Amino acid sequence: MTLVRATRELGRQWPWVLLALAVVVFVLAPVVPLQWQALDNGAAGIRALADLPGFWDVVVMTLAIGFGALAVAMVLGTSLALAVQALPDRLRRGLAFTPALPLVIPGIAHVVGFVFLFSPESGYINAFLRMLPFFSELTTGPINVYQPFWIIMYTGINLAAFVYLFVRTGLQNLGDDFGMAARVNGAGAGRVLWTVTLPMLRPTLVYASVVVLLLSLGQFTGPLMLGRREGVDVLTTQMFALTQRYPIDYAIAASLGTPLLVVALILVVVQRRLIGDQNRFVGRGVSSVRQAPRSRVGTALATVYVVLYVLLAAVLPILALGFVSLTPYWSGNLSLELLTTKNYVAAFSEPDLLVAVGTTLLVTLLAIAVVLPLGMLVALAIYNRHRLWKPVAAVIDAGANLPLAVPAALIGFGFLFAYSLPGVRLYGTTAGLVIAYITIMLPFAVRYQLATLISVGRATSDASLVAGAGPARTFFRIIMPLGRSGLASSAALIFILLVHEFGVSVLLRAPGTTVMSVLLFDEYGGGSYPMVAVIALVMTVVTSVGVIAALIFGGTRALERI
Amino acid sequence: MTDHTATKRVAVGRLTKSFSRRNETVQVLKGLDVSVGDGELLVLLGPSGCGKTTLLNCLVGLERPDGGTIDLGDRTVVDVETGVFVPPNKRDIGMVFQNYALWPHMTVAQNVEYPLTSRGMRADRAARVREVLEIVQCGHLADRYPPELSGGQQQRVALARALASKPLLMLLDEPLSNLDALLRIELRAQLRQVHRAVGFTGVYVTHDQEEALALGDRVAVMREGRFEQIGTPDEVHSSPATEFVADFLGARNAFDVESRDSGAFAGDERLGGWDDLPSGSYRIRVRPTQVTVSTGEETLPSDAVALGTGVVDELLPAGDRAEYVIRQGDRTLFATVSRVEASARPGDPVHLHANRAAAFAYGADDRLVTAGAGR
Repeated sequence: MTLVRATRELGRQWPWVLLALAVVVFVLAPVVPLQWQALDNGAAGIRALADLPGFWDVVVMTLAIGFGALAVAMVLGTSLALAVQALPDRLRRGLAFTPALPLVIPGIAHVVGFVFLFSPESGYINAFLRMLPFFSELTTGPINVYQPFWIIMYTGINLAAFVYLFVRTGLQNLGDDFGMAARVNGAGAGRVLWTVTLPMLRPTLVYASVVVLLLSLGQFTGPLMLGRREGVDVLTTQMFALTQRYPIDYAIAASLGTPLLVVALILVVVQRRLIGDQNRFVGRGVSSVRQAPRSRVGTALATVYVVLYVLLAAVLPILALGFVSLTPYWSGNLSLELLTTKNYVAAFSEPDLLVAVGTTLLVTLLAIAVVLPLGMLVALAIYNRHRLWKPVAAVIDAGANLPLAVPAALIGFGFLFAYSLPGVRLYGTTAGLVIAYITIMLPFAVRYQLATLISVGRATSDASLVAGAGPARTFFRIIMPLGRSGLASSAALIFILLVHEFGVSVLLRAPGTTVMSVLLFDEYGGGSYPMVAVIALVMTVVTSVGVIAALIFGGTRALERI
Repeated sequence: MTDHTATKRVAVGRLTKSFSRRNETVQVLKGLDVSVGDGELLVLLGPSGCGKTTLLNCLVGLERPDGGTIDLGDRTVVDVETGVFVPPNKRDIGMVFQNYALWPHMTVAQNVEYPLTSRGMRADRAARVREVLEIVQCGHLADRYPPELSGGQQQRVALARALASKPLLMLLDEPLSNLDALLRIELRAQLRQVHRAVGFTGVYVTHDQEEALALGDRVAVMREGRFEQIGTPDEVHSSPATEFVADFLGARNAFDVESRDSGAFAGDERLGGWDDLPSGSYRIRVRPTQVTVSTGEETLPSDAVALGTGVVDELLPAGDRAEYVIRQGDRTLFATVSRVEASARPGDPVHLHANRAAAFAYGADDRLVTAGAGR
């Protein structure tokens, strides 16, 4: 490529060059200035890490939670997807979406629900287990959700829902044909699983494990809420702790994020190498062969397995929240006599909760209003990348996907630092939070809308161009009307994710920008558990508005895109 | 046949295009030159991957060529050298897509009206929509939505949409390939009628040789990004310029012949009638329909050439006709004959011959040696 050609391409494609620049600014703002701190003065911050008390314990704990939760999530999620696949058609249609339910519950509410179930003293399930003969000697436990092993289990159970969605989609794309072909050739169910299904799912499994490892290494909410009592710390919580001291040592806090960032970038590159173009993974989901008849025992076992998971991971935590919200104080006692609505009355008579709900909705809707059009432009660029000059398309694609790889807490901290730079008056403002939300949602907005563009189809928009319509008319007359439900369900999904958001929000918190998740965290710290439960339920209700909208516009498979 | 080349509507010069995937670059178009005359229908014929759809996409502007020029009417729409590239919406081209690409959220009439609106044609849009729907015999479908139409109806509406704004050039990308065989033949005839009635200038892409021969004013046979032959349907059918064209147009039977002073030989067997071939090695191609199968020792007709002897392997009945599979040493030849003439049975020794003009001989340069050229 000669310089002349490059200049000409840049000149011709200037709108896309501008878009690339905008994306780069959005996604690098929270990363580059902060990492500069870590590397400044000959990487003094990074070298100081070793002297940080307990630093190596933190690294070991981060890795333990990362890989431990990965293993739990992969085994659990894959087996759930296989169990659902093993169900007869009608049962499968009814149960297929349920293992994804933990993702619909706000993360921070989910953790609190688990605390109510598995706290060693007052956890309801622990109390129930102690009534059994085997554990009757105990006064606390047997499960201690605050200990590393159970933090790993919790994280794994939570992330299993992601793995489930990936593997389920993989199985649907695979269809029943290959398995049936193996059955006809004399293989039993087990042999089919080991010789056909799992090997053919390998790309899906690799992809899922990289995504889950990224998530589990960057875990913040779980370790923060669960690890505090027994002093279990990971890199992200350690970083958060440093921001709570004044003055903040940005160099050291930034350096804590450096290893996470490096690992994340390596994983993303590895994933690209292993999988290649992600567009190949848009599902076909057709199968010409009817599935084999299911045995009754198999069906029963699979059903029990799925139902048990959903109970443990979604239903019981919500029930626990509901119960605690109706009690004067949380005691682990399931007595119905003391039930009261006074927590709700109290929560809604004070301004805190209502203000937080208002702030959450305002910031969320503003962010959606920007990130949807921005994401659409990026999606259009990626979709038409063969018509763009390669470097421009590559920058847009890589840039828009970068925030997915960076843990939310690190992005939040990055913005905190960027906003505290001289001349940037964004800290504590609504605009500041909106910008951070836009950045973290960009990859999702792009991914959802790319799927919409793919489903609308290239020939449909090409036909409009050939008929003499320009890009704008094509977009508004053809792509928008045909992609309407896809766009609406993207908006609903982003709404859900933003209402759940905690990592970025807690780092950018200020008196005027306290969203629901942060308020919940404060109340949790203050020990007012019934109030925590009320807020968690309000969050869940607000979320379900988004869930219902997503289901209406996107159908039952909409939630699988979270 | 009118001389279309007198007034050129489209001129393509030295067009090149390559795609790169991973670390591999594939040159899809290798310097193509072709022109389409006013009112002419040029058919691009070739196997999948030969570059015909890429050429079509370059014409319409959905692909950007790496080199060369495209002139449309009196306007240059592509000139890579000077950086000229007119986007598809400004080229005044109509296109029928392979899967029709009708917009499912618009009625048939709205679909057809769309190019008129986007090209800013205000006068009598409704009348033009009616007119063009009548041309394709779909006037009664105006208020329906595309998903309610049959495949054939969708195809005709797509044609109407492409014709509506009276574009300078019509492009048709395998428009009949999604239809079943009988409908395809019916619509092929209709398309021919519409072309006669409207007289549009068009480029038609297909991999179906029958379709190409039936529809084209000229046929351009493509192979790996180059034209192998451009000519009238009659020319490419009766004088395929290269062995590839012969093969693609149905001359399945292939064998080698060595011409010496003592006569023409296929292996050790001397073949009569090839006296016009100059000395050298040749590849022979013959359509199965042109092979005559005889059981007795007949004398070779005066304008015929021998294709050697063989043994009948199979006789496959196919309605009025039958197909012989004949073994010649380690070679297999096919002969399609009328059912009543099929007297030989499996195991019978047979003599094969064909008319000299129907047996295509290609020299070392892969050019057709026409009958009588060497005399």
